[in-house]
Amino acid sequence: MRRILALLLALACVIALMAGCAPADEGKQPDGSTDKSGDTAETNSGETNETNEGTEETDDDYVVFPANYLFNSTQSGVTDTTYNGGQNGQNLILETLFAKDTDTMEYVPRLAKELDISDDGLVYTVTLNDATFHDGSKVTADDVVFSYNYAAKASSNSSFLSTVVGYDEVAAGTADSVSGIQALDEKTVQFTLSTSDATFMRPLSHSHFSILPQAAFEGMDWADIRTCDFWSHPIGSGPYYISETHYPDYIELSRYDGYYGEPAGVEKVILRYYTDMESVNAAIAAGEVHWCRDTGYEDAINISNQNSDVEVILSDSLYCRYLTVNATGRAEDGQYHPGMTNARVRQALNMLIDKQAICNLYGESATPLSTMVNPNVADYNSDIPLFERNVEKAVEILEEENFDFTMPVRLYTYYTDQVAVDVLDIIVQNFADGGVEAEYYIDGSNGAYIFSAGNFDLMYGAYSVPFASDLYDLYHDDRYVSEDMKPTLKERYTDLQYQWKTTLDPVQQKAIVDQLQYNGMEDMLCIPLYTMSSVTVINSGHFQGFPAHSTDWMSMYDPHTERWQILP
Amino acid sequence: MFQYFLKRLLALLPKVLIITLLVFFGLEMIPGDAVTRAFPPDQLRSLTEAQIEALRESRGLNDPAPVRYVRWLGDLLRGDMGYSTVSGNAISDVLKTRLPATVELCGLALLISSVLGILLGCTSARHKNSLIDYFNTTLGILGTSVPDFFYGMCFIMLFALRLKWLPTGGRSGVGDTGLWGNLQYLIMPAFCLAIGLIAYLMRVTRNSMLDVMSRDYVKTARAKGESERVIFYKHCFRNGCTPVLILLISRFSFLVAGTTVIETVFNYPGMGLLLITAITGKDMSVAMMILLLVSLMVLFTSFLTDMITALMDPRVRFGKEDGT
Repeated sequence: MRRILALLLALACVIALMAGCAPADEGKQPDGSTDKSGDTAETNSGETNETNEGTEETDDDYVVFPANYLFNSTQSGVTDTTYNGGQNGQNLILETLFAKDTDTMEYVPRLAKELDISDDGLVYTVTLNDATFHDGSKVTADDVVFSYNYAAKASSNSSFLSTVVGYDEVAAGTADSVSGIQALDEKTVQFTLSTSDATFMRPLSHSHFSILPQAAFEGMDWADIRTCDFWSHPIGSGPYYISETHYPDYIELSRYDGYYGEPAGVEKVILRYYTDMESVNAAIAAGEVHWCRDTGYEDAINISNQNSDVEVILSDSLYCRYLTVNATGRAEDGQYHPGMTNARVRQALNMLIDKQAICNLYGESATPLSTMVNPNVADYNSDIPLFERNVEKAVEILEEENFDFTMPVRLYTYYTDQVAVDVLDIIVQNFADGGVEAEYYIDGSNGAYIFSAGNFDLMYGAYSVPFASDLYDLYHDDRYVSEDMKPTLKERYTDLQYQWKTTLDPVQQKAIVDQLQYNGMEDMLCIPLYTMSSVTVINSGHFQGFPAHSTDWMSMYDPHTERWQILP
Repeated sequence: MFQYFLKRLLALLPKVLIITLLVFFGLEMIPGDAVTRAFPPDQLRSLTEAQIEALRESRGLNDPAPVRYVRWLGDLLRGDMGYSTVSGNAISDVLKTRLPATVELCGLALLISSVLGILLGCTSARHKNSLIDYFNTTLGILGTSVPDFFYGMCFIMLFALRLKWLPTGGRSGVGDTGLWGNLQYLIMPAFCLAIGLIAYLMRVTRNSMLDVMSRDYVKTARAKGESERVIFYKHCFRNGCTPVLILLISRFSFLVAGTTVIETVFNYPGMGLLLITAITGKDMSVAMMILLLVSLMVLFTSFLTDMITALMDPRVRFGKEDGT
């Protein structure tokens, strides 16, 4: 009897294994395969196709994206808009007034139908599209005003509204709403600025300023909004709505038939949570995930080698890696190299670095920098020659400036990955070629203290901005410059940046950015190293139409869902 | 039996109290204070210092530590585990979505390990010192010496990337619901989790069966002319596997504790993965609650093992352990 029971148990296990593993006619397949997910009327007819891997698959009607930043920390809901990275799926559910078109990199209207800017640049009047939220209610100007007031109070990027009249009072806690944001009628919102602002498209397109339904938060205190139940199933006005939630695994989006724009080309989108990029990379290689923007270049190439359907696309950005110089003249631990206060010494150190060797660590995705601006973008000052390493010239300058070759230059970084170590190794070797002794240390957890104490000569870091004029904000940080330098820096950077921001003339703006880059080259308070392209991987064997390029983290981009198409 | 049960239960209570004490004081040592754990973070930010102080007073958060401990224990028994300091969600709600996943995973791992471990152990015992025995022994050494995450990565490369038989990770597929839909997502992580236990059980089963096979009653059965097959399965199997099954139950809690690495490798959204994300996200209140749950689970399974052992072997109840 026992033997029979044992045999039955073993048989049950085998059957269970086979049932779990066998290819199913009814869609019980791993995510991303082209089997039908269910036999509804909307699904495809179930034609089978041979994949590149030689396995038999059937058509499906969904695409899968990783959405790590969309889920909250316990993966029990979606993060609120003022906390979210924005790009990974949020722009399918929630919308901003404007977005960037990645084909042209120009701002295009989304929820906004029209924008009128007054001649003095102080009044922005936005007329809304006839859009509805996913619950059928209309998107009104009151919803826009509510959303901006919420962001002004809760967003870490609320300072994007700093030029709007009344923002300062909200930031100080003396007002509950921004007086310069008003609903003129049901479909018109007006933003009144205290000064013209060339960056004002930023808050009109940033994910933190997505438009929320005011009615969903009726009677709720501002402080309760972030953790309220709305975020377990948020309602937006985007081309997709949340049709099913399977926390903490994934959420399913379905095409919103009431969308004011062109309907999306793909019926369903799955936003799946992954803890780390390794899991995402494995899923992309297996064909379970169809798009990703956050993977590294080497990983993207490896994935493409494993799965020939996967395409790797590089796009230029204003992302840069550089060395910040501690020009304060002091370090709390007393190990400060006095040469750092000398601009010619900083220029010489820049000349010693073999930036191309560093870029080679990233394959084709990195480009050496001559200024802090990517030489492939329009803002680059083409009068500045491209960087060339010159050890002899560097040594000559150092000797002229009586550089102390006996004291080591101290590099520091908060990055703990192997590539960062390799970069610093290269820099130390490059400095040694010029007779400059150098050493580095890594500390990923005590950055705040190290910054304030100034216990470094050069700090390896990164920066990403949407405007080339923003790159020079670093010079205004008291941690990195001495008191006597500040008046000069104000004139050479702060004032110029203010002029850039308040002028609406693109020719004048370009001239200002050119001057900023030239000043940066002279002062060399940030030693530019390299820029990295944004890496996007798309499974172009499964679907097409997704924007080939990505934008900076600041702006929502128009995903062009109307172009999406699942390939037969 | 009832007396034995009571004795064991009374012995369990101090251990539970010690664990809860350790967790309570662990929470107290987290930066911030008890108010941050009693309220969602955004509610807290909107309050003034005077309001926070008044809240502390009204909720008894200024009371002495022993009083607060007792109150915290009471809340815990009512299911109130406080809030995540990062997301603001109630911890009990979060754990409700994770615990079933981990239990499913560990249950399947236990099933796999018991079937395969006992099967291989019996085979080794029956064919002692044969090629099969040596082969199984080698498998056992590999199972205990190679880390389970290595197997996980190999399985993903082979079954998910190369053969595309199974998914790379996650818990459920689109449109798939229920156990059968989840099974394909469970197979690899459950098997990886079970490998170490299979190797362990195989050795224990083999030794236990060999011990039973050398007993006098087995020799008697052989002398009476019964076949080896009948002797093995009818006389030896039950006696040899009984201690193994008891051991198996005690191992369940270790499986739960061991899910952290496997769930991370397979992106399986259970308690182990939540623990990792809580620690890396510095959400210590969630991390401490998970540790509390796991500790209590270990205690409980240990208690259960004692009870089942006592039920099956009266010598244990009466304190005779040497078989007399």
